[in-house]
Amino acid sequence: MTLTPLISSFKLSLGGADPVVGQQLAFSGWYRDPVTGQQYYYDAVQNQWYVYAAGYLYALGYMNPAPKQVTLAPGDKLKITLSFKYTGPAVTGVSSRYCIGAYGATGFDEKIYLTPTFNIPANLTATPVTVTNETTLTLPASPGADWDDIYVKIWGGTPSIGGSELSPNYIFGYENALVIVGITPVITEFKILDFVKV
Amino acid sequence: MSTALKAGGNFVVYTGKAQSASDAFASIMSYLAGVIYYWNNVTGLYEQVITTTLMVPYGCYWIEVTQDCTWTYGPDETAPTSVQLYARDAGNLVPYLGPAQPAQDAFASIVAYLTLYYYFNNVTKAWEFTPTMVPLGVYYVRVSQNCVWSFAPPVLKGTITKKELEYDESRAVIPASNIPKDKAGLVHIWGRNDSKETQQMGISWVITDPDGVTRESYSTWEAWPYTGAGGEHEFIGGRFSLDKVGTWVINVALYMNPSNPTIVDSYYGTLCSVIPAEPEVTEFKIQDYVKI
Repeated sequence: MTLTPLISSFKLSLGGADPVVGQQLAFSGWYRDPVTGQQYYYDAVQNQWYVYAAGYLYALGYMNPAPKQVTLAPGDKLKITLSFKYTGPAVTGVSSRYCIGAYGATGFDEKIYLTPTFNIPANLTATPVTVTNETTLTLPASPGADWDDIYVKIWGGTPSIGGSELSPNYIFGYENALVIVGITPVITEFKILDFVKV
Repeated sequence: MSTALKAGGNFVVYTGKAQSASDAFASIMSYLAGVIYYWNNVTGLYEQVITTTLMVPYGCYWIEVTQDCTWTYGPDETAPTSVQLYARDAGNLVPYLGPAQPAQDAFASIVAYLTLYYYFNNVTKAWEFTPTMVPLGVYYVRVSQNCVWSFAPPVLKGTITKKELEYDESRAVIPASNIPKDKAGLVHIWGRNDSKETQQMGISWVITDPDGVTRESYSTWEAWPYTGAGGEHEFIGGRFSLDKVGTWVINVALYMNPSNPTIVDSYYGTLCSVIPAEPEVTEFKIQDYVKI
């Protein structure tokens, strides 16, 4: 889609051409889709586009097709493990957000989430090491049938890994990762199983 | 042994045995003109030579002859390997008993003390500055302190005694570890002259980053005054950015003898390990999700 810069100088910097979502630009800034009114933010440092929804910025392209589907019923627990490669000093108090919800055109509608913090041990070598962290989310008694998406994001810490809750540098999600069952009665294969003289 | 003499005055080195002047000069007796002088380098005075004077092997003599001739005086004495030099205004008149070679190499053993030298050219009858030494030539040499001028090739010995990496306001001994990324590096290398004589030391090093890319190539020779026996000289390179995480390598060679550089010590190994100064996260993802 073609966007209109909210500040005209961005348009001037592009030589008069309107940017397209996904395009790499020279400057960070806010953009608006003139057709839908949807606002977008482009971070030139990270070369990352974000979509704005309900006060949050969601990185475009962070959702991925799920490699598998996990079936959950009300009250079931889902353990999500994130991982990343890391080099650098020890970091304390990294913020994270683990979510189950419904991902759509306007972003991720979070239904269940936890925001634990964790620490990253120092890795003062040139070879990145894998760091993992996990959190368990529990489905409530009445989950929605469309709560089939999950995502995680991390930011901050001391020293900071960068980003913020609203504009994280590291965010990753899966679409259609879950199958929610046990919400409504489901009857199938209705028939007379047998009939006999008694 | 024989020595060619040119008509007129000659400064020559007598290489024969100790014998009377009458015997030594017998071959040219008919060409001699004027008084013969021997330069006594210990006293710093000329001594008149008479027929009974005992010739001094490898002494410097002033001889005037009426025509070009060849002075023959019997077998040679074994040449000394060095001569004593004295620090005095009158200077020294001494034979050069080394090979034809650049003056800087010939004077290597006294380079710290040498202030002036000339060679007497028997053809032009003049004192001349010669960049290439003339074997068995008579040289006027002035030095700043008493010393021994050795004609034997110097034994070149040296050691890289200290290696340091300066980065911003800090220093670390090479091989250094845990250097924060993006610091400006500066290498300091100290070379020690383990030779018996003063030496001009040189250095060269190549620094490569973790990707094997050359980041600094440095070489130089120390400037005058050179390093005396047992002394050290510090070499300082140029600044370069330690902008890659990983192991940096340095290849250092310490040299002597600029006219024919000789490596006297070397070091090839880790310069430093550079660590990330800030957190670097990559490949962020959901590794797994399971029902428990």
